Amino acid sequence: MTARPRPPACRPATRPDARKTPEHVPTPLRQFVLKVHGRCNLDCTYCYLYRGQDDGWRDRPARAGARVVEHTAARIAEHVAAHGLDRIRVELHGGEPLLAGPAPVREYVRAVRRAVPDGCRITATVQTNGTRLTDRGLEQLTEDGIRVGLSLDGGRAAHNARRVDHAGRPAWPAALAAARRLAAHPEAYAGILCTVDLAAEPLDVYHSLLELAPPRLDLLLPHANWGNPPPGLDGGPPGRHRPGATPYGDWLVTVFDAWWDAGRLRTRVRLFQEIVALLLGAPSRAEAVGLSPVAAVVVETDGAIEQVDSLRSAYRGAAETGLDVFRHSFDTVLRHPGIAARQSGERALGEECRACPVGRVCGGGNYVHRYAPGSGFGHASVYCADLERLIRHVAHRLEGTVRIAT
Amino acid sequence: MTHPTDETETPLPELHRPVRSDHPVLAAVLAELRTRDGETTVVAYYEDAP
Repeated sequence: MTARPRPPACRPATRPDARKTPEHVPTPLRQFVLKVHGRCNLDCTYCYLYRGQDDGWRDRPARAGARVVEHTAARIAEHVAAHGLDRIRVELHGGEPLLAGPAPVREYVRAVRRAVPDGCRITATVQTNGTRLTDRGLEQLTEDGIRVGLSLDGGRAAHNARRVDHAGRPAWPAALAAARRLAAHPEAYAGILCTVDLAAEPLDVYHSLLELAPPRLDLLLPHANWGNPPPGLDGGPPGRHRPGATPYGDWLVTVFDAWWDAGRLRTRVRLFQEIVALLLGAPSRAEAVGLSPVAAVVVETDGAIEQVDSLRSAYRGAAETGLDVFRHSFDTVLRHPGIAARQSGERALGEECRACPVGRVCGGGNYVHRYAPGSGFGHASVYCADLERLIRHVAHRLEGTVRIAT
Repeated sequence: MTHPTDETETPLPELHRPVRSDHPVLAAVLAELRTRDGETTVVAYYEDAP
């Protein structure tokens, strides 16, 4: 680790009393997002990480060194043993985690597998832009049982026009080749993450992605907040404002209907699946909706332990915890107010969300989208109206289907 | 499109989970939920991972 001291988060991403609430019992971490490489070969025009206000990545080493890898693996093993965990997820992230080839990714996963006690199943996935995924690289990752997830904005060149390298050259040809490689190796294909772009026609995006045969797909809302609203929405004072424009809700509703009415399951769309689950009374597995405790933590290339990167879109330092794998256990992380807030369920919601008839399904949406400068995260999502539009639509469609089924 | 104002206070429908369904997408969701039923604590995962 570089000796850069990590200051405590300047503004905790929660109400200060969240960890002191008597009934709050920390949930062990189950998902370890490990930064293999802290730089990216792409310069996507909308990137919240490298084009955002938090440029802390510049101070970190480009690659996770052997000492970071070994300490991280030992800390994960310690956490697994302390809580008797029978399964965890390890996500190899960046930057672009394959920037230095598959070897560092494989070494990280092997280190974790060596360290973690027998009996704990480890699902390892590398999330890549695909541009460095070669046939040989995929073969090597597969040998180590590492799945590959792709980040794309759609299944055509035009959808991915914002994904370019530092010289402005399109990432698409190489990304398409990677998608085709993965489609030929379904055992290694984890799925596709696609950020919604209102400028793209939703059915064209969805159907073009289906052509790439992802077993799973998620449609992500662009990271935004009340102070920095997404394209197509106004910011302003936070709240559950109605009537409100719902361009993202409308976009997603169009795709939902295509998914729901296809006559067969073409792919699993996480956001839709989780909304259906919540409407049927089940808890969510996704941070985008619902009130399940978030069980994810990030280890940076210098060994710093942080909250998820998306928080960086709120303000500089929002993801920081001041902890690192050399000095702190993951149990210490569980006591951090920012982590505790994301495990507090309804208690982390603002008053409006707690009173909202859609709140039990929406769960306030993604935590980072609730942020308003000066007052923090205790608000409705900047996507509040969009989420309500989508959830009510799914409820309506599901109601009809369940009635027929029963 | 804007969200209809007269719906904002309307409760969501109370839906009961069917045991099975002929609807292929719902059937797949129900199958996944059965695996979830066995878990003591269902946790939420970071969305930037598939």
